[in-house]
Amino acid sequence: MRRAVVTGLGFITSIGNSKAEVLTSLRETRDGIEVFPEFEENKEPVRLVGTIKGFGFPSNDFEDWTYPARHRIPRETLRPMSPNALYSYFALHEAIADAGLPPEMVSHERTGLMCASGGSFWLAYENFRTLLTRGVMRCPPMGIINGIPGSLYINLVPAFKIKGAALGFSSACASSAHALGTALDLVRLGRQDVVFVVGAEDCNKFSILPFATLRALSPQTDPALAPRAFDAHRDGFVGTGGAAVLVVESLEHARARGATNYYAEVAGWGQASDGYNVLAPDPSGDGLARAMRGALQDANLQAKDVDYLNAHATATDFGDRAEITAIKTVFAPEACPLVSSTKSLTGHGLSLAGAMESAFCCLALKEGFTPVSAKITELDPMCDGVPIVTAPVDHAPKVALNNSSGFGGANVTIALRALE
Amino acid sequence: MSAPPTEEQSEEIRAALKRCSPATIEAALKFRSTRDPACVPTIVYGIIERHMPPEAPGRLADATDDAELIKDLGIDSLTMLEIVLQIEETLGISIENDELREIRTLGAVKSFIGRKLNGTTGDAARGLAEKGHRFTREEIALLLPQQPPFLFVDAAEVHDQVIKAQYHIRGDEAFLEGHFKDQPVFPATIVFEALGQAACLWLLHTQGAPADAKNDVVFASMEEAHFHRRAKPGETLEMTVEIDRLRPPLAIFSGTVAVGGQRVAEVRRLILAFGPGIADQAESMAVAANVRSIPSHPGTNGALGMTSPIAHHDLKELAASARLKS
Repeated sequence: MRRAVVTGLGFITSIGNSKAEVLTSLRETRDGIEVFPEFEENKEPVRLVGTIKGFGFPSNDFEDWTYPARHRIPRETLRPMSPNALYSYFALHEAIADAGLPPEMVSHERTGLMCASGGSFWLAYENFRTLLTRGVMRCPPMGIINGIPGSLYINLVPAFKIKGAALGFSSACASSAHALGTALDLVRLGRQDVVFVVGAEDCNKFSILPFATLRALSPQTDPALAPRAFDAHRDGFVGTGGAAVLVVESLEHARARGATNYYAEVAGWGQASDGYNVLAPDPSGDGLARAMRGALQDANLQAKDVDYLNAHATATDFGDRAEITAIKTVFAPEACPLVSSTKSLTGHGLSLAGAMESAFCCLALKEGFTPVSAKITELDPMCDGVPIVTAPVDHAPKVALNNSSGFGGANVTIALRALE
Repeated sequence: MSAPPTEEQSEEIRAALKRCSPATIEAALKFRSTRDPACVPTIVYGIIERHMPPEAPGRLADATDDAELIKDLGIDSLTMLEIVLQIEETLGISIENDELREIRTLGAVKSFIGRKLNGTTGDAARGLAEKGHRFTREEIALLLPQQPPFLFVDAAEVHDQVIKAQYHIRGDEAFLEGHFKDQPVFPATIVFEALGQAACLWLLHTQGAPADAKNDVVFASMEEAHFHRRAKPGETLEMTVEIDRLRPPLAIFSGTVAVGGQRVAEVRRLILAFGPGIADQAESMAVAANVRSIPSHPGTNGALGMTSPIAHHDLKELAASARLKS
């Protein structure tokens, strides 16, 4: 079976708009959480967001949008985009440059694109508002494709002249983890040599605020206090958006073309469903435990081989509890890996989460550090026996797992291994 | 007929046109309160200009009416949709898919919008009719090289892209005696001739000063000509000719002839060549190439009373050499 490696990364995230910035933030435990001015002005019940810096979306007119000056995008490419597609466009550019892929390998029948985003509720809303108030013939012509979840691959395929397999994933907060797992399968089966995995979300009140009604968002106003996964006083997640891209490539293809960046091997993946509730995770953590075991088996690893686990851990009471239970099910107390939630730094990226956090694991494996689970002042006693990384540790992981769980009880675990 | 826009509507117009020039917004606001068609070109140009990509091959200010939106101005089909949406919104009209497909040149956009306003608002229709240039038979005789008894246009109204003309069949035209014996029918060839004379009038009026006798016009070819109904003495031929493409020295028209609203004849592609000395040039080229003229088919070919027809490919050469010269 062919092996797959990650040879390029790209980021537009709350903790940095490039690989270098993200690496610094992770190493130095710098978060990207801020009071969101729009929530503040409207006295919303939540105020904190993992904001994407340097971007502005003052209206639904794409020509009003602003982005960091070092980026360029042609008008006709921007026109059908949503914010999440725009973030992805820049992140994918960075990842391609990072991987050193020439244009003829980007636009190649053996190069594919796996995308995950929830679409743009914001632009969908604007379009439907126009439809209802002014009639359908006044709606912008791009009003369908900038809103729907497929928006991401619809935009990126022509923008990057993708010729291989391209599709979108819709499994809520497990979406981009499914995209990464599927990319691994495509490479292993020899169907593609290179697959870009893109996770992305808008970062606005439409993508984040609706979770307030579920009481899933933290009501904190101090970014130092939320989100705080695994803390006894955790009170919900903080939303974010952005984009993360991984270039997944067959090892032989990477070697043959003389790739220079080898972050990690995507060693295996597992997926399992709770079969329990539309929103709440199974408190026994059974589905997530089966996903983790599936990933280990797929990667031909033992539980004791794992030395870092990037947990889904969004800082909701039920979610973290179920995940800790699942971790205790899979790992014996004496062989439990270091565990952290990087969502405490970034916020929860929803569809973006799996790709973003697997990319963080790639950085940790290549650069030899373990990300810290920030903002914990009083560890939840139920974490006893699970080594949560509450402060920097001198530990270079060799094998990392990344968990993602979504509504409906979808669980995915990605297994990554440092390359020797 | 139309009330001045409310403050809210004015704000909407300003918001919709925020990236257009101040003159465009000014014209749009004026149009909304007065429906003055004179504002339309400014609005349409302003909206197109604002959508032209920075890397467009040509500039709008330099573009002629036959500039193609896609090829010459770099506007793609999606941008065209954006333009249409904004024009529709600003002028309060709607443009159908079929209509959209026909709009390829800048001139077509202008004439289309003109017709659209014509059909949708009475005020605008009156305004446009006044804008068209009206000709009497005497004025036409001064302008056209065709003269009685071979002048078949009595009155005409010339617009930017369209000419409407009439000819009343008197019954005393000499050829009716033999066409046919005891049964006068206006010959199909002459019906097409009348249509061609109207096109000729459009060319001479729009492309050269009336007194400029150097500007020759010659008939080149006619395609998809159909004859549907006989026209008889006492009836009036109503001709409508549209200019489809103008690329000197060639002009391509389409036209219809009706009597009392009933279709008499139509032609899809009538090509005239024009310019100083065009007739001599075309003929000497034809002689040099030893090419004989297009065979004459009754009903599809009629000289405009100036020169004999010229082979089509000669005209292409002519067009090429004219471009080289300019």
